[in-house]
Amino acid sequence: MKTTPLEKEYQFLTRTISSLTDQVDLFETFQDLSLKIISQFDLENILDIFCRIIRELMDYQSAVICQFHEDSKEFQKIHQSGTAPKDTGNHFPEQTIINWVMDQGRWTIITDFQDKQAQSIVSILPIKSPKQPIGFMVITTEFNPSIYNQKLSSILNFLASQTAIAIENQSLYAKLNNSNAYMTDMLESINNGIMATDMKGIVTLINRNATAILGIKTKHLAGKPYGAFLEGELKQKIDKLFSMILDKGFAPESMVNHSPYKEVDIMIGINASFLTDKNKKTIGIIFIFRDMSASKEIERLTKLDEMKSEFVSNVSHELRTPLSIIKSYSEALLTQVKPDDHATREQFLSVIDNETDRLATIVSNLLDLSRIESGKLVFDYSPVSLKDIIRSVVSVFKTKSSNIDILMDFQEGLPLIEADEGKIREVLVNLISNSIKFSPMGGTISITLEQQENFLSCEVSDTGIGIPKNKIHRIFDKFFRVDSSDTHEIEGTGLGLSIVKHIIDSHNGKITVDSILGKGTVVTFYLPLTRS
Amino acid sequence: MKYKKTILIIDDMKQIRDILWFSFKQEGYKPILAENGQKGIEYLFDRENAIDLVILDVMMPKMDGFEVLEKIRTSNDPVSKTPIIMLTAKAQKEDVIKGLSKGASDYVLKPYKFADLLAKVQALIG
Repeated sequence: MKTTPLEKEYQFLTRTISSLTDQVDLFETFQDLSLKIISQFDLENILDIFCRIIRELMDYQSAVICQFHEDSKEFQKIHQSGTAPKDTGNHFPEQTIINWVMDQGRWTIITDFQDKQAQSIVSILPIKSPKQPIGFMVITTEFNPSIYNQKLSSILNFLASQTAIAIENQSLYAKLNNSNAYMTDMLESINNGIMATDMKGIVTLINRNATAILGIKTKHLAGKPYGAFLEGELKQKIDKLFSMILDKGFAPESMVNHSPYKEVDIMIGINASFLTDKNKKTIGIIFIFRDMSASKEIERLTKLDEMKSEFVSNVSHELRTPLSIIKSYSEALLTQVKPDDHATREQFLSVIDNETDRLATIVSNLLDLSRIESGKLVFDYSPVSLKDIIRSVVSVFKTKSSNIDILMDFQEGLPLIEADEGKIREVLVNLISNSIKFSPMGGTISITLEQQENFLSCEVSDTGIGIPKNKIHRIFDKFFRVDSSDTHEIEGTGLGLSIVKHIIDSHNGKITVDSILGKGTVVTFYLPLTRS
Repeated sequence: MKYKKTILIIDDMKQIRDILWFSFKQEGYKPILAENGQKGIEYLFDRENAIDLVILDVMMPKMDGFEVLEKIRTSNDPVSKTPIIMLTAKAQKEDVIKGLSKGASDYVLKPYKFADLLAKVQALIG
């Protein structure tokens, strides 16, 4: 039969249209499948859908998906669907074949169709993204060569590349999630408070420490302007920093006193700086809140350490001085003083005796001080009459020192106070003996006692040599002795007033010193009537 | 009569001054006492005293021994060359080095052994 040119053209067009229709169908199929796979973010789901689509296409007996390790060429089975028939179970392709197929980069049947023995057909489908090989799928179907055609090959290769992209996306997404969790952990573990806002002051991020330091009780802060949950001086400081940053691009650290909770008053240091994106465009502001009490504490401990070293060096000096006196006098007694020079012997022995007493006093004062400071000194409180204690202490001094007048002036009807009688006695002995010591030319000591609201105030004033103005603040320091060649002739350990202050402090009392050089000194202590 | 060498003793502690006075006198020296650095410098620069050696305490109020030492050594007067032995209760090595670097002739630590001090004095002035 002959065909006319018109018929020929008609047939050509029909074939072309049919082929085009097929291709459109194919593209639609591709688009559907691609969407199904790409829209997944979970690896298991991706692999599952991938297998299901392939099963629909070729009804495999088994499909095994293997993934390459990122660096090495080694692979690992990560997904399996169906089971291969027993006789082909061992026919997992050899590494060299896999490598060859990966290099080809497209679906490849590795079973020989001519093999009369073959029960099934095994093929390898490489899973490669444009960047890197991700893995491959080993598909086993029944021995039915007719289903293997060009169209199936196109679809499988396309599916594999889509799956590769989906897996790659998924791994990036997982990494992003990880690094997000990592960032969050880091933010939360930082000891400082951190708050980030956008350029309008809307909070984009805030860590738990920030809410703790600032004492914010509002929940879900992200998305709210910071002004919605901060107030007062704190808000003003942040407002100021905010506008300063916008204005000048930087702001110095700023301090604010803040009481987030009742009876808690902390100093907060606030730093602010720009947040920028990768193009260096400013996208927000980050505020760092620092609780300054820790720095204060370190400062305090450092100072304490210095004081301790100074104390040790002082103690060693204070102990060495009487020791060297004792040593040199006894040495002279042994080697230089003539046996019959009784006057010198007696004089030297009395110096040794005095210095030994001084050593004993220093050591016992040191022990007292250390007990008080470590809280080991036990106070025995009972109602006592301060007036009676003063009278009894004064009577002892009156018999000892003849060139000093001690006057007492007590208010009528004073109440008893809750105190440790022995310790208060020590306070008075210390104060009065100081007054006597520093009145070398004699003079008058006046002791007055009166009630001031819930306290008794006791004033011990003398007409002695006084204390220079710039030394008064150090008068309670351990081993501090007023630095003057005249006063150094007066004996003392430099510990008495430290102990006095500790005793008064332990009673929740207060002690003050006032003095005029050359005129005299007034020491006043206040003791509460009751301990509470 | 044999010429007695003069030793100036500068120390703020009376007991130390007294015993040094006694002990050096026993050994045939002529001790002069000063209770602070200022007075010590005055005595030293007063030619009448003709001081052969100075025993100088370090820990003293107002002007410490290092300051006294520096004042003596940096002056142009011939007495600035007088041998000086530092007497110190400060056991710290830095103080010893500080003293020697400022020109002290020797040092003795408190509590001292008089025999040691005497030996050092004799080594310097006989």
